[in-house]
Amino acid sequence: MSGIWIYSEDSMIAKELLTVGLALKVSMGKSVGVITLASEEQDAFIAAGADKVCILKGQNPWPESYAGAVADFLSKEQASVLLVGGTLRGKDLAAKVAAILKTGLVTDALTVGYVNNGIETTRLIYGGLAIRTEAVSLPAFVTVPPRTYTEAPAMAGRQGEIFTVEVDNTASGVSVSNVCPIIREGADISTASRVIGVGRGFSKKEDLAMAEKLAQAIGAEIGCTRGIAEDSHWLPSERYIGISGQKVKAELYLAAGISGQVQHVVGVRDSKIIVAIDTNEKAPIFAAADYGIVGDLYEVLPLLAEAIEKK
Amino acid sequence: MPRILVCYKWVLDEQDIKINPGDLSLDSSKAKYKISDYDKNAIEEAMLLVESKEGSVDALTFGSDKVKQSLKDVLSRGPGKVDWIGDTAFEQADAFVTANVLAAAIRKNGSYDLILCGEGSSDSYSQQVAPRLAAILSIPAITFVQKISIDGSRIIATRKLGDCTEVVEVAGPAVLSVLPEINKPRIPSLKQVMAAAKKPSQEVKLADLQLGAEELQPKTITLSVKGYVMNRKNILYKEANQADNVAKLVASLAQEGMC
Amino acid sequence: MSYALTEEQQLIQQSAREFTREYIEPIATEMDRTGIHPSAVVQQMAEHDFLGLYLPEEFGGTEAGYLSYVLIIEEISRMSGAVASILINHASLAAYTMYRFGSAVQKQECLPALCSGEKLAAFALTEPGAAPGVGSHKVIATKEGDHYVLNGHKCYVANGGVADIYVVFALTNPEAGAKGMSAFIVDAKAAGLSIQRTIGKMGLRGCQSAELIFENVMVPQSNLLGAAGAGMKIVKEAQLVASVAEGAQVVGIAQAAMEDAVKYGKQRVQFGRPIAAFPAIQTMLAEMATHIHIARLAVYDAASLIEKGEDFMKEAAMVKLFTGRIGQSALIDVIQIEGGYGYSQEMIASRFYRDIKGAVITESSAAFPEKVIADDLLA
Repeated sequence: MSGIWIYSEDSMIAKELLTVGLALKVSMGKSVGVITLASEEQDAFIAAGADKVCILKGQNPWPESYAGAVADFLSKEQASVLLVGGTLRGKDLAAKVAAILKTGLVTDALTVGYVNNGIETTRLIYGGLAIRTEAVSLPAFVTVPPRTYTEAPAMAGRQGEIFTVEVDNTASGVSVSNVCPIIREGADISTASRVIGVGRGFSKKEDLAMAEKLAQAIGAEIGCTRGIAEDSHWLPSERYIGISGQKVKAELYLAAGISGQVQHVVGVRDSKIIVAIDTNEKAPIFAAADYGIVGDLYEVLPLLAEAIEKK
Repeated sequence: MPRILVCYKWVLDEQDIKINPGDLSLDSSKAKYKISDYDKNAIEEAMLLVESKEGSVDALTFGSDKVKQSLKDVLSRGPGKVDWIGDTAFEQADAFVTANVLAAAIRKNGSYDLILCGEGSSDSYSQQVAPRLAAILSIPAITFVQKISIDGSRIIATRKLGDCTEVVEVAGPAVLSVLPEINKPRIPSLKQVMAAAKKPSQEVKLADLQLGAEELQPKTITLSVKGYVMNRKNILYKEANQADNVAKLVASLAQEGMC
Repeated sequence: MSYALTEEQQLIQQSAREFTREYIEPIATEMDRTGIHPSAVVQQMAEHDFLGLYLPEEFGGTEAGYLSYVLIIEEISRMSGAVASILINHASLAAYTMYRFGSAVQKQECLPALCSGEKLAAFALTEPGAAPGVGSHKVIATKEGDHYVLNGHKCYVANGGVADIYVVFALTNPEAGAKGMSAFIVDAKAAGLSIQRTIGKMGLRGCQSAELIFENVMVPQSNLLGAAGAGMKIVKEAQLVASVAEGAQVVGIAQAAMEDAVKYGKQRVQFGRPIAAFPAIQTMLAEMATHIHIARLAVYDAASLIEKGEDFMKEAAMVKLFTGRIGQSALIDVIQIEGGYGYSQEMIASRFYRDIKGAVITESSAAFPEKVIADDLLA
């Protein structure tokens, strides 16, 4: 079997995956190619290390409609590995391609390696409580979450093979409309460098003003627990941090009035410094924190905002 | 009058699983089982759809021999009937095997206008089964759905994909996976719990699904499972005087270069 | 727990656990602070069929059995003894009395509304300063034509002021003292019935207690519950039935408190070891776990007897006697283990401590447990 292939509908993520793909190229001794829908990026992929770039050209702009075409292509190429950018669209496509080709797929892999003539991955299970190491026989498909790796750097003068495959991806009976970007109030918390998370410790919506005041003082964005977004609807669901919500990779994450269930903590634990404020000394959030204050956020937050403003 | 099938998974409640501090192995000896959280959203959505449209809701599950404990639980949440496959093959099953088994059971047991799944399971959360199921059954998949409406044989769903939403319309049958935000699952009333006992459940034998050995052979093998350990400083300020605590925290943050 | 619960009972327990987490946990602390009756929670309990769950379907109940009912009380009590008390006063005292002693017409008229939650019920027995029917404020029912006219005071009426229907005990034959007591169904809106005041309590806050005043309250004779003079018999049975539910309440509170103490004991480090490693702490925990286990078995057993329609008086009295002793001692130990932390006002252990006291001192004027048990032994 031959070839490591990378696919993402998002070219930036495809370049991140090239970092993994190039490492696998070394250990497996196989070429690395990129399957893309974006012909304008073809040279950039070659520069970033791709040996081949395959541009899929169909009539239907819906990325999910390329699953059959990707499967056909991989089958013809007898691909050994497919790395897919772990966006939701990417995971949808990867699972369909895996089903069509009857292959194994690991989603949201934290690490991908070549061990014992197969692919070995790690991923979180039980809402982030544990890490599972899995072996996938070749051909192996893996999705990798965005921003897990840095983009492979461009190198001058690299050569590679670029080709276009015309595909029929008209999906009969399926129509897609009203594609609307989600309007975020404020910056995207998943890329913010400082984030304050708010939880059930706040007893009413108006009190979030205290968190906002502190956020201003330290230059942070506001995120929240699932309960605040989806039960109380105090904040839009794009602000909810956790296993099925946003993942925060901040320099500083400050949890206010959050008990720290594992489903929440998994969304913040890649942050550099974690601070927690909660009345309950036994709250699990303190185990996940570098610094904690045991106290009522109604008392602590204003004091903290004041102390930081003074500095 | 849509005929809806909901697939659900009977999983260990992760809240009850402990990590053994020594070797980081998991201790699930005290863990109870539950219907996977996201599947509860799928069940609720199916019930909301038939409450406004009439129609019927069946449930389907593939699990270990323990899955039998789930039947009354799922029926108390609304479905009129449940088909279940309980087999030791489940212990090693990955999404490839699970989707094969569910698809075979669906082919054998009935035709549906809509098949609903949770977006992922609360144990593995691999988010594969719904799109795989659609691919195997050669019907459309609409994943990560936050809103569903049914208009005759047309299914109209709003997907939410991190940075955008989009409306996808398909002719049924189709497989849809729903996001937790789509609804808030109701807690079964006691009358529903009592009524569950009178609803039918049917065992489907894995052997009767005529799956080849190849289709029951998992593609991914678990090598190890270890508790995730957090290496944090865990410095706690807990004086009675909060001004002191705040001063200490600010000093620490300054030392970290955070303020 | 080896007591064999059926699949339905386990599911009912699970539903109650989810219910408690969803609807009671978010308000429990605040309710304890304000003492305000949680009408939204009561409405949710109605929608989930908690209010009439052991009553027959023909009266709008769910017919899930008394054991299922005490399982629900136990689950609710793990979060809030007060909400459990609201349910016990409604379902075990008031609704049970109507179901057991009411006429066919009375049952058809009253019970469906109590099962659906359209109406909340209360049990008005205690009188200020004395046992019912003996003090200076006793409620007397005087017969006038086809009516009784009620005058007097009732106090510590749980659900008082928020209930729509009261089961009121009044003397129809004052010369006979407590033996001349009868039970009446009284509409809360009846002219002359007023709430003197609500009574602040140390625990079970949110289960509102009120003092009721009856001033020439006209009650139709058709609202007499059971025979004239049957009041004491009714009170005794209702209180024993309720004491099984109160036993479940004690078990629930004590269990939750113990779990809190276990968590604390594993985390709190003294002399380089978690305090749970010390024999003194382990002894306390082992003793309370044993007491709670035995109490739970006794509660389930007595509830099963009620459910099967068998004689349950002795076993119910044993529940009352035993849970009365072990409930408070468990909480004293929990506070001891948790030290200053548990003693703090905002901590759950201190609320449990106050609540369990309330759960074990509920009136038992007609059903002193020792007397009931001894009578049975010596009969």
